[in-house]
Amino acid sequence: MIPYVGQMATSTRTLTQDDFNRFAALSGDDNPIHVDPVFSARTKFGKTVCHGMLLYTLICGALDQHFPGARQIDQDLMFPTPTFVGERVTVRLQVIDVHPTQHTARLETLITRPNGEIACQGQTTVRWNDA
Amino acid sequence: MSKFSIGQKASFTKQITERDVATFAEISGDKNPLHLDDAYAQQTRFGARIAHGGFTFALISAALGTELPGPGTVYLSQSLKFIKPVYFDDTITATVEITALRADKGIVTLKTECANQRGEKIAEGEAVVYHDDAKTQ
Repeated sequence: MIPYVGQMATSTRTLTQDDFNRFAALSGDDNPIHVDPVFSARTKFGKTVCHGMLLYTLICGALDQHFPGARQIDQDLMFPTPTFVGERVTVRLQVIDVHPTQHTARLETLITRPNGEIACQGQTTVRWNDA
Repeated sequence: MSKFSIGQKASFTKQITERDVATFAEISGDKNPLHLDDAYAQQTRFGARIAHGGFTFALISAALGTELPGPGTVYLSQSLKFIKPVYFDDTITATVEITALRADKGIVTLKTECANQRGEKIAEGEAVVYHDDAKTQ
């Protein structure tokens, strides 16, 4: 399916400590701010913080769900505010540019927290014809 | 003085196994058959299943969070361009190198690169992070 400019899709996900622990084991990033609730309680954050890159993986998941077959060529990410364990985040993808002959599209990728604050903002280029 | 300096480098290496790719698919929800379905992947121009491109992000995150600047690092931004695919059992090294420091704000900019065991560059980009120790006392 060819994406069209303005096309929008959203997914939601509640982030659990188990998600953080599994991502830490997978990536090797076991920074205590992500995996140690006792340590994190003593920091200015008060609880464990989601890995920025775990948020990014939710973009991968949303892309696969809403734009099956699309493969990422690049991705820019910004993390304006921390996202905490237990928060339900919304991932929104919006197509902003399409190059049908090159089989590529540019999408805005946005993850918001329950209070409406931006957890992760960026853009990606995808290619959808790898056959 | 900040304990960091421009040109300082560190790296993090990991072999990407089939099991890692399956775990990544579970955590992310990205079940693209290019990563999970042999028969499908063989028909693509890659000729075999490949790891999720985003896996390279995870390794850069590990290099930043565990090596340089190290524990306490807070991600502000990351850009990444995927250059070559990562095949199963490839050993990927993520290298981060400090290119700029803002001691007044504790902000560190790093060049980020991932290469496979053959020395081929598979991804490149830039990270901007915050670390308490990057601040001038």
